[in-house]
Amino acid sequence: MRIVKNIWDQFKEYFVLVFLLLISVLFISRSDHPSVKNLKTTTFGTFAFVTSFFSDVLPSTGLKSENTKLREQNAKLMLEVNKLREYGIENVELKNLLSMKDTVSYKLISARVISKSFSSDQTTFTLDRGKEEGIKAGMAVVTGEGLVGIVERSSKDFSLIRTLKHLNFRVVVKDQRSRFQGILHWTGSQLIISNLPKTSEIKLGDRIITSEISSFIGQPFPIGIVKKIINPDEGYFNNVLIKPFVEIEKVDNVFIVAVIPQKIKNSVELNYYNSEHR
Amino acid sequence: MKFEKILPIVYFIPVLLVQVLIVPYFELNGIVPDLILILVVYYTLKYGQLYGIVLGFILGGILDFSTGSILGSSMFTKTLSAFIAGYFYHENLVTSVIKSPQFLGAVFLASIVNAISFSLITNFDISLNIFSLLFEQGLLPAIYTTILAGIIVVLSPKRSYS
Repeated sequence: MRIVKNIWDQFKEYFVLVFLLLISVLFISRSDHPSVKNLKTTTFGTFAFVTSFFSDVLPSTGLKSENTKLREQNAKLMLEVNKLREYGIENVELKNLLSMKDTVSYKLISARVISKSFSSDQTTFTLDRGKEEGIKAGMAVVTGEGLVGIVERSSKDFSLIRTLKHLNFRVVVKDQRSRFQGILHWTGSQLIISNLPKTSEIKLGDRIITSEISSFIGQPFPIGIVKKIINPDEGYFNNVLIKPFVEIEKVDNVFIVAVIPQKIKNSVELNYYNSEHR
Repeated sequence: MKFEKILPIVYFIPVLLVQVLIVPYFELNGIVPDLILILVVYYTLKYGQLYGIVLGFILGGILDFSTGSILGSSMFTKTLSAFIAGYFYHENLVTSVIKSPQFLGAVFLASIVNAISFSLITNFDISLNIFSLLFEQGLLPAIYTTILAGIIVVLSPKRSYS
């Protein structure tokens, strides 16, 4: 007994460290469990409530209402311009077709960023709008410049946004000129489209937008431009570095695109956000 | 004495509010100083390694729940960082932790461990560049956090508690 006590006295810091690290690893492995997510939504909503109270007293710009209107108009114009660009390119490609249906209607919900959590791997924002305004997980979040991220979860009055600079953010994108598609993701330091075939005709400066085949962002939102093409000597694939249009760190006001879900598509595709609510 | 040991959990809320509301205004290329880590290191140097480990675990847990990061990631990194900072603990220095030369060294080393372990947990990739891991994701956030800790040291009152 004395030996055990001696060992404990001598190494208790190590025992406690290992024990707590194991618990942490257990939490990491259970991070996506529905019950854990519900608990996180509750605690996040509570903290966001406190944050919103204090964020109101921080320096705010004047002419708030006019600014909000102008930003909304700007965001709508951005979406319209992008849609028109798409139609222009599609018209060339599909000139033999008689017409195309416009199946997309954008409803924009304005929101303010009330807190930001920065890290090189997981940048998240908290918005002052939630389920009360019809915001649901998976909805796209944009500014006048382009896509900011997606709604990760929402409580009654607040939403948590997974930005482009989040390791778990992945979206199907395409080169607006060459139409090549790939999966965009954040590496911790760069926004990258990886494993594009070397035969893809992507050029520096090409505009990258979200692809219609994405299971949760089915509209063409601007992402950024091609900054660098990494062409390794070996293998069959290139990596493409993207410079985002939106400066994520400087975003203060955003719009949530409340798009009617594409039921047929969602029922066919494996949708991460549907499985979340099962 | 017991109440004093609960104080960092009380201080945690205002510090977290500053972290998410004010610190983002000072971001440099997406890098921000970590106030929560400074708090953990401070109390680790004040009360010892074991206390710091438990405190890092608790504060990391609350941080994960409040900010939407991967649950367990901050728990893990803050616990490990406190363990490292604990090696700077010296009983004779407990009355003037913030003015001690150990404070900035502990913050710097704990910051590196915190940033690198966080990157490894959340972004483990077999092709991970060691230079990027050490420099971009480890050293730069650590330097920024240490600079902020240095400013706190300079601005803190000079009175002695001993």
